Amino acid sequence: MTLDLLQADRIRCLRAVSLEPSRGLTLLHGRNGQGKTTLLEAAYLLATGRSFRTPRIEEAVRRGGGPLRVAGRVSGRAGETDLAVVVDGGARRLAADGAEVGLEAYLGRLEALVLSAERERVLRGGPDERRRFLDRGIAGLAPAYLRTLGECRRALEQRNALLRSGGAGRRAEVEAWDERLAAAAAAVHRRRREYAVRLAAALAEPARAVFGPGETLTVAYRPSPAAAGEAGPHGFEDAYRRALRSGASRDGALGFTGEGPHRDDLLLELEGRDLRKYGSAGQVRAAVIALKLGKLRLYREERGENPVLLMDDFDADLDEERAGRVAGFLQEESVQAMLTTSKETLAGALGVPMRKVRVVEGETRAA
Amino acid sequence: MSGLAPAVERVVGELCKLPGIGRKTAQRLVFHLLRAPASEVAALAAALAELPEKVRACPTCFHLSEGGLCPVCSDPRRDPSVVCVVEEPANVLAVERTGAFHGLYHVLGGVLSPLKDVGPEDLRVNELVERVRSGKVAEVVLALGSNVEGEATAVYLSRLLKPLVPAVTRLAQGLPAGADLEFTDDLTLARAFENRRNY
Ligand SMILES: Nc1ncnc2c1ncn2[C@@H]1O[C@H](COP(=O)(O)OP(=O)(O)OP(=O)(O)O)[C@@H](O)[C@H]1O
Ligand SMILES: [Mg+2]
Ligand SMILES: [Zn+2]
Repeated sequence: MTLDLLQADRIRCLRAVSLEPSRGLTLLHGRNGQGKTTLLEAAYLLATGRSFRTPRIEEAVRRGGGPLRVAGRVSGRAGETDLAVVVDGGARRLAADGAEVGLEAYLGRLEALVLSAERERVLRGGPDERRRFLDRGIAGLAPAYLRTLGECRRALEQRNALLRSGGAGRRAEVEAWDERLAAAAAAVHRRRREYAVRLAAALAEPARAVFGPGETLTVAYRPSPAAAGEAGPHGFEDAYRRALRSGASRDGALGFTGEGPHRDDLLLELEGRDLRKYGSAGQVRAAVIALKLGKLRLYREERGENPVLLMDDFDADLDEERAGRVAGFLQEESVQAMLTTSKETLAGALGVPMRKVRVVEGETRAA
Repeated sequence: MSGLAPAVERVVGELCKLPGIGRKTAQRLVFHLLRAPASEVAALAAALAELPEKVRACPTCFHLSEGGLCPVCSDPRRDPSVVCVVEEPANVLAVERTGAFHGLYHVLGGVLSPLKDVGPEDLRVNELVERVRSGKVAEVVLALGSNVEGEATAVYLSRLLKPLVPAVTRLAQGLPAGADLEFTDDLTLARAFENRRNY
């Protein structure tokens, strides 16, 4: 699908911007604080009804006066659609083809994947960031997964509450919660494992494009407890139940459950070495880009079309050659992407045709 | 603070404590009562006052009753060898409405929830064990909610009761009517498979 028209008004510093993105690459360039990221934010808001910068969308309403309005036209397999989002004070209104609709009915017409500094914590941050990455990816393909995940969390919270209140000695009670936790954990485990395997496969080609032929990027799901993970998707439940039982006294002393899906991680290695520990800034960023492109491919496998890709600070930490390779890959894959940069000269260095748009003080100029 | 007379505010405050009643609804109810004849308000107050005095838990199953055994326990046509365990009195009414069950009940008074500090000692678990020990029960049906707490409570009770009674069963769980497989979560679908039956 493509976003063929993007209009944005009174979102942060933007004023009555109307932009026709290329169906290939569009490079938004301009000095710091001019509104480049905000344009991506506007596109994401149009896709999801939310901002990727803040959970409180009212922060994005122009200081000194709303309403914030973004609108656009999307074309995809489902045909053409006009979308609009208006934020006035605390209220948000969504409209598709001129008719106001609720969030659930609104979603799905425009899919956007965003790569911004906030999302890049997936590699440098703690394992919770990577679990969130997995879970978001799974839920994107199978929304009912959120319920499974919720049950697992709830069972874990209940078990922990029992342990904290000194209930570790109450075997029968602990085991009742173990039973529930193991069943829900097994469902989460199966989904994460399956997704990680699919992601690893989808990632291979983008990773080669981003890193070049010399370096191999691999991802591996690291389930907790490790022993239960080795039991395979079907043996996990029993193995985890046994692990809970044998760890019960330790958990009792700790006051929480030491092992389980809440301790899962995703390991990214470059040439067999943990990127988190040994990766350079550019390598880490390249890996995050490869992950995102893997996700994009999974999406395409599932839905039969590409989502729109929004990449903030496109060239951050990348050398020119690598930035060029990424741009080249996007072009080959016919991905519609909006990229931002603060470097005037980047477009020339990338060696890939793209529409250039200059962003100055909240307005856009073709250039 | 709310601009209401203290007497009105007191009633609003009390009504708000009821499940499903927010401030707005409470106010609407109070304004309605203020317009109603005094005799009606007095009748309501008297009925309410009677409630804790007259309504007791049935000594056998802990369902609501007005002194002595509840209507279910005192019905000679009911089969005392099958006991259905439910969370609260409202669940008894729900099962009764189906007309599908002819045994007796046991109202637990809640489900296990360490987060809310509810353990077996806060529920009528001992009473259930005593009932089952008395030897006249052939089957215990666990009819608790399919949420995490209901499930864990069912696991706990089934382990406790299995040595004491010939059969411990649970309600079949499957797909909600009209559910679409694609949008059903894994746990529900797995349970539906476990509970599949012959055509
Ligand atoms: N609610 C708001 N109302 C008005 N202006 C805002 C609001 N929120 C942020 N701004 C301003 O809008 C601009 C935001 O620009 P944006 O983050 O899009 O910059 P950018 O072009 O991406 O810059 P950089 O190159 O530094 O990333 C900043 O100047 C910021 O001070
Ligand atoms: Mg920016
Ligand atoms: Zn009774």
